[in-house]
Amino acid sequence: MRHALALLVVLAAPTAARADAFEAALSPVVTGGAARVAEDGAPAQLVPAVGVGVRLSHAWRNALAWDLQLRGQYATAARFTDASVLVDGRPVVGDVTRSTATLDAQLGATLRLGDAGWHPSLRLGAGPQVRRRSESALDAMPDAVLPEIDLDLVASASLGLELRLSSGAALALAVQLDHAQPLTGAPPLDVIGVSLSYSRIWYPRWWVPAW
Amino acid sequence: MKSTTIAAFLVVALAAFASTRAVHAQKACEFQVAPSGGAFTILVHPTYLTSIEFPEKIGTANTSDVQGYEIKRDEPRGLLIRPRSAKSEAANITVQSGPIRISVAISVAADKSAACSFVKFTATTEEEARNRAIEDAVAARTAALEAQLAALQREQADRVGAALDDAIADRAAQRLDLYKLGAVARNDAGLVVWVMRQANLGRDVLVNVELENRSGAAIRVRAIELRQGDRVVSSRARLVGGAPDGTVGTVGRGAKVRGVVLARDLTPSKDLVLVVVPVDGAPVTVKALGLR
Repeated sequence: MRHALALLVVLAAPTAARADAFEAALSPVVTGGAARVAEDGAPAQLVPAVGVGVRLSHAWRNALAWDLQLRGQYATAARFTDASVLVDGRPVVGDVTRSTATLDAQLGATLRLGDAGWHPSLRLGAGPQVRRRSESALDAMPDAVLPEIDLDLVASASLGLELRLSSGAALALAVQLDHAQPLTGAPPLDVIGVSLSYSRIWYPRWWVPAW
Repeated sequence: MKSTTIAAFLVVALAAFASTRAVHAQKACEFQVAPSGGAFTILVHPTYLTSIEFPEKIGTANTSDVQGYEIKRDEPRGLLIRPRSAKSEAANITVQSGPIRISVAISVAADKSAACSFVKFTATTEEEARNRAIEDAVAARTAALEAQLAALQREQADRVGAALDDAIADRAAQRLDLYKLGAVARNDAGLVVWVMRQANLGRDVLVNVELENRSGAAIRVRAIELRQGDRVVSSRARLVGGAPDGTVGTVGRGAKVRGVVLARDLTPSKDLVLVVVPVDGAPVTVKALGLR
C-alpha cells in the first residue's frame, strides 16, 4: 500500500523537466492486447497477444523525435475451422490450431503534444516484419501442417500519454494499433493493445546544436 | 485671398518665428555690487539691445571712447547699449549709482548666445559680496579641477584601452585556437547547459556556453564557473544581456542565452568541469568538456 502511494505521488507530482531537442532515449517497451489472426478459408479469430521491444529515439526538435524500434510479439493459439492449408504441397481443408510470433523493426516518429506533466504523444512507425505461424495438427492428424514463415510490412500508430519523471527518465502509456500487410501468402494480421515504456534519457554528443 | 495679404501673413509669421527664436537665445546676467563699488565686464552683441539696470538712480556716467556703441539713458537707473557692429572695440562706462561707483567694461561677444541682453546690478553688503566672490572662486576652481579630472580619466581610459589591445595582441600572437566542443548537461528543473566552443588566447581560455531554459519559469543564474575539484579556476563569466542585480544573468522561460567563461592562465585538463549555479535550484555540472 505504501509503495503504491509512493508511486502515485511520483506519477502525479509536477516536474519542471521537459523534453528537449538533441536528447536520446533508450526505452524498453512491453505490450499487451489482442491479435486478429486468420487462415485462408476460415473466419478471423481474436486472441490475446503480448510483446516486448526496445526503442532508441533521438529528438529532432523539442516536440519531435525519430526512433528505431525492435519488437517481438506473440499471439496465443487460435483454432480455425475449415481452414485451407497446404499439406505436402496440396491444398487441404480442415481444422487447425496455430499460434503466431512476429519480429519487426520499425522506423518511427513521435510527436510530443506538450512537454510538461502528463502530455499526449502520437507515434507513427513502419517497417518490415517476419511472421511465424506455428505447426499444427490437421483435424486428427498430428503435425500435419508445417510451420510457415512470412514477410510483412507493418504499420503502427499509437496515441498515448508521456510523463517526464526527471531530467533522465520518462514513462509512457499508449494505445497502439498495428497492421501487418503480408508481402507473401499469409493473411493480414492486426494487433490492438496497450504499451508501457520506461525511457532512460541522455544527450548523445554526436549531434549538437549548430553555433 | 489676395497675394499681398498672403505675403503679409508670411512676413508676420516669419517675424514671429524669428522673434521667438531670439527670445529663447537671449541671456540675462546679474551682478552683486558691494557698497565700495566694483568693476564688471559684460558681453554684448549687435543683435541685441542690452538693458542695464543699476541698484539706484544714476548720478553721473562717464565713458571711454564709445564710438562703436549706441548708448542711451533709460531713466531713472538704467542704460540701453547696442554695439554698432560686431567689430566694435571694447569700451567702458563708469556710473555713479547712488553712493556706489560701478565700472562696466563692454565688449562684443563673438557668439551672440554669450551676450547679455539684460544686465542687473544688485546692491549687497561687503560680507555678501565677499562670500559671493569666494563662492565664485570656488566654483571656478572646482570647474577647473573637474575638467582636469575628466581629462585625466579620458587619458587613463585611453591608456587602459591601449594596454588591453596590447595584451590581446600579445596573447593572440602566442596562441589563437578555436575548438568545437559538445558537452552538455541539465538538471531536473529544466536548465540545459551546452558547452559549445573553446577559444585559446595565449594561456587564457574562453569557453562559450549556451543556456536553455526548458522549465516553466525564468531562471536567474548566480554563477558560471570552471572548476578543478573544489577550486574555481575561472575569473569572469558573462551572459548575453547581463544582469543588473549582481547575478550573471537571467534565462527567460523557453529561451536560449549564450555566454562565456574566462579562465586566466589555464592548463586544460580532463578533470575540469563547468558548473552553472542558478539562484534557485540545483547546479548543473557539465563533465567531460574536452578542453584542449
